[in-house]
Order: sequence, then structure tokens, then C-alpha cells
Amino acid sequence: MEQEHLQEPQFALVTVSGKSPERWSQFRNKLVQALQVVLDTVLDTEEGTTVRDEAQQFTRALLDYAKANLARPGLENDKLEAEIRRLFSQSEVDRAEARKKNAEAEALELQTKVKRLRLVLGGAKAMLVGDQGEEAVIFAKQIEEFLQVLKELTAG
Amino acid sequence: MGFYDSRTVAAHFGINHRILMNWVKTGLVHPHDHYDHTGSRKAVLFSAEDVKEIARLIQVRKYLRGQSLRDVLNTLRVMGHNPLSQGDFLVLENQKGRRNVIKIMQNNEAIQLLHAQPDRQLRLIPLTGDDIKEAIPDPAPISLLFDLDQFTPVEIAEIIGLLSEIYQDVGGDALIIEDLTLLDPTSILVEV
Repeated sequence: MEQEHLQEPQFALVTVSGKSPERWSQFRNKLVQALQVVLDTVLDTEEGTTVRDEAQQFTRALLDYAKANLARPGLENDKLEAEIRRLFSQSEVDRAEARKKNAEAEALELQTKVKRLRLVLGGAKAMLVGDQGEEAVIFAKQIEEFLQVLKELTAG
Repeated sequence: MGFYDSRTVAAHFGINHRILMNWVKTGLVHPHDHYDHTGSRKAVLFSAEDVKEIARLIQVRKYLRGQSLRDVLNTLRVMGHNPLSQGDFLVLENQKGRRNVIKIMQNNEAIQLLHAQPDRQLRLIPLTGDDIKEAIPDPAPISLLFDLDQFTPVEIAEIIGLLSEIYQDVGGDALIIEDLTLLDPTSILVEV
């Protein structure tokens, strides 16, 4: 029997939360709402339906399934994690210094930051999936394909 | 250990916020005061232990209310018990229409007491209940799934950084990366 690989993209699943649990508890929903504003502009609306509509059945359980079954352990994962953590930490330090030096930087409006985030996301498709309190965000070119793979796997 | 604000605690137990703050005001529960850098009281914060005590208070309120409840708790505190943090039952004895507080007991002690003194009118009030969740679960993180064909590590770090800024704008502190895992759907082999 011949075997072939599914032509699907590689994904990095990054789990984030607030530094202090009580602050995170208070403001997580507000962050999700702010994210929604960003995502509304990067959803695929060519056909008049959003990716979000198509993914209504997609729940956090599917993401957990993906994490449990499709994780690639080992050196490559460690290297990518270390790289992203290093870059993120450095950017947090840079931003903190910029805020100290320049009061204007701190005064940037939420709207401006949302615009910057949209720019960084470029032409990517993005969506928020999962039930309230268990949300996950997917940034991808091939969301539909990824969802299809997961659906087929969980159906099987 | 995390702390929770009064609205989070009230919502967790499904009780009115005013009732919770009244318990604080009347000394039934003793949360921590949080002060800002000027020394002014900014908020009342509840520790996990405070939350557990509130869970027990809600349980006891099914049997005792108002002044009776306060009297019982005060009596036990004078006796050296903290009824909201120890034991499984508090024991009341009915004598000539009056209810006297006896003590707080573990489950096995309470059963022995009932067997040993069948003639006394004793009432056991459970301090814990299956229907009361004593701990507030930590809120779930948010998962971000990136297509690595489209985003470099630099871009991923930048996106998380921008989300961190937005989080601060809506009143949060700072985002931290809890975990990062590579997903590899291409590792799934299908037979053709």
C-alpha cells in the first residue's frame, strides 16, 4: 500500500495569558472583544460568508485534539519556542523603554495599535474559534484546509 | 497565590455583590485591602482562602441566617475555632428551645458523637457541599495558531507584542507566553 503526505501547512500553537491571574481574569473578555475588531477586517469575505461562519462547529476540543495528536516534539520545536520567546521578550523591553522616553508612544490609541496589528497580519485570514472563555485565534492562509483535516480526523 | 476582586467572587458564587460587600462590612469575611502607591485603598481583594471561607459561609447560610449566624460564628471564634476554614461539620445542640454551639468536627468524629449520645438533640450542619465550588478556576489562556508558511518567528513575536499592548490598553498588565507547540499535520500519513 502506497502512502503519501497530506499537503497541509505547518502551524505553531502559542498559548498566552496575563502576567497576573486576577488581571487576566478581569480583562480577558475585553481583549477578546478587541481581537474581534482586528479579525473582522482580515476574515475572508469574498463569497459573502466569513470563515467564522464556516467554522461555527469548530470548537476548542478540536484544537485540543490537534495539539495532542499533531504536536511535533523535539529540537525544532524547542528552537522555534526559544526564538519567539527571545524576540517577544526583547520587544517588550524595547517597548517599555520607548514608553519611558517618549510619552507619545504611550498615548497611542487602541485604534492605532489595532491598525498596526492589521498591517502585520497582512493578507492573512484569521478567525476566533471556540466557546466563550475557551477562545482560540487562528492566523492562516489555509484555515479551511486545516479545519477539514481536523474534522476528518475527529470524525474518524 | 492569586487574588480576586469582589465582582469576580460574587459572580463565581452567583450572589449579589451588595450581599458580599455587606459580609465584608459586618466582618463575616475578612478580605485583603489593596492600596495604590499613594496609600489610598483601591480595592478589596479576596485570596483563595477567603474564597473557600465564603463557600463555607454560603453553605452554613442554608441553615442559619442573620443574627443567629453571626452569634454562632462569633461563639466558635471565641472557642478558638475558625468555622469557615476547618472541620466538616458544626454541631448545635437544642436545649429548651435554644440552640447552643458545641464545636466543629471532622466527619468521623461527628458520626461517633451521634452514636455515643443518642439522647441529646444534636444538629450537624455540613460546612462543605458538593454544590459549592470552593475555588475559582484560573481563567483559560488564549491560543494563537500561526501558519508557519505565512508568519516568521519575528512576525509571530511582533503580533504577540501588539496583542500585549492592546491587552494593556483594555486594563490588563502584560501577556506572557505560557506554551508553544509546533503542529505538524503533514506527519499524518494516509493510505491511497
